[in-house]
This record gives sequence, structure tokens and C-alpha cells, in this order.
Amino acid sequence: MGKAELPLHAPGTKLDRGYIGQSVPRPNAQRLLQGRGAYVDDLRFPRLAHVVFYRSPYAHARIKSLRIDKANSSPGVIGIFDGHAVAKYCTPWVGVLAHLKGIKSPPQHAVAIERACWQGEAVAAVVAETRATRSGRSCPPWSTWKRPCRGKN
Amino acid sequence: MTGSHAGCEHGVCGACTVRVNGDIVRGCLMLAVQANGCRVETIEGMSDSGELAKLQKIFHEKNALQCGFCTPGMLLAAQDLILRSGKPTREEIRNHISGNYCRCTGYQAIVDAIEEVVNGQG
Repeated sequence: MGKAELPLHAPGTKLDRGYIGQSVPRPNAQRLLQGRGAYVDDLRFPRLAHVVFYRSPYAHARIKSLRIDKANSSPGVIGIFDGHAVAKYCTPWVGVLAHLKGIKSPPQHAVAIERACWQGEAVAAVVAETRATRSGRSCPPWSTWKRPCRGKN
Repeated sequence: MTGSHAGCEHGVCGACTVRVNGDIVRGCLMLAVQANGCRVETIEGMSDSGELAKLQKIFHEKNALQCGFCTPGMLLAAQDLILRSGKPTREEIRNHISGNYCRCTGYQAIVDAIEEVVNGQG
């Protein structure tokens, strides 16, 4: 054993029977070892499109304007959707704690609506025909922001 | 072909490892035009030729993979070491695969598997 390694189990540890501590055979690992697995990125469907998210550059800021109509006209772009558009299809997530009744998070939308609460929060979903035509990551300056957010919520 | 994986896309994770003219390279850092006239080998071809059979068998026996995303790159790096060094030590194995990230296994089983193949027990 090399110097960077510790024993797998502490000396004297008693192991439970069952799966724990056992090597379980995995027949499906054979194809992974040959590079013949199928990951999400490997799937190809008819009319498959690619999505990239335009993300908030600020930790906390109100979205003053989002010019998705302008970016929408870029060649190869199928559509750009802001938080309001995505919310029609996707209800917000509310985090709760089973052991602390009454504690819950504010509704968290898939794509930010009106304000971003963390740097990197998705602000718009850019759907394009290929990855190369997406314009999300190095986004054109089609948004304006107000920060810091001093609103009540 | 989808065996070699684009992971970090900036040459850090090693999931995209392919062999070009006998040297393992980062596929994500090499342009297709640079490979013009070169012999490019991927996990698919090296599996079919049987070159990796021993490594694959021992990786499987020792559960040296979980999701398998890093495994094609890991196998190519391991084979490169075996071809170059013959009988590397455990530290040398760790050093040689240090450019291949695995987020599942914790590396122990991978090093075990390579070491077993090196020692000819496979």
C-alpha cells in the first residue's frame, strides 16, 4: 500500500452481512469497460435540440430587462425562454424539512423570475439546433440589471 | 463513436483520452485537422483488438469502475504505462493516472487492478 492510502476498514471493525463490505458482481460493467455505455449526451433523437442557460452574473440582482426577442432572431436559435415562460410548464420547487414542520424554502423556479438570488442562476434558456449555434454562455448584452437588490422579498 | 468522453473540455479530467500515433493525448485539446494522416485509436478499437482485454477483465473483477465515464480514458492511460514502464510501482501507477479523474471509486480499486495486471496475475 502506498503512503497516501489508509486501510479500507478500521482495525477491529465488525462488518454487517449483506451487501455492505461485499463485492457485488456487475454484468453491466462489461459494456462500460469497452466504451459502449450510453450516457445522456450520447442519445440522439429526431428533432433533438440543445439548451444552454444564460446565467446571472450577479449574486443578487433584479432583472430590469431581458431582450429575448432580439436574441431569438439569431440564426439556428429555436427559441429563448425566460422564467415566466418556463414556469408555465414547470412548477417551482419548495424545499421542506420533514423533521422541522413549517420550515420551507421560498418557491424556487427552474429559471429565475424578476430577480436572481445567486451568481450563476439560470435567467434564460436558449434552445438551438446545435451546440455550436447556442448563444447562451457568452451571451450578447441583452439584459440589464439593478443591484444590489433592496426589495422587500 | 461515443466511447471517449468529453468531460471538462479543457484538458484536465482525462475522460477524452485517445491514442494518436502511439501517444495518449487529450482528445478535447486536439483539433481534427491535427490528426490528419495520424493513427487514432480509441477505446472501441482497442477493445476489439483485445489489447485491453486483461485490464478490462481485472477492472471488472475488482469493481474498478462505477458509472464508467472515466473508464475508457483510465484504461488507455493504464495501458500506456504498462507499455512504457513494464513493471511500475504503486506510486508510479498513481502518478501516471493522476491526469485521469474518477469521481466514483476513490481510485483504490483502479490502482489495485492496474497493479495486478502489472504483476502478471491477470
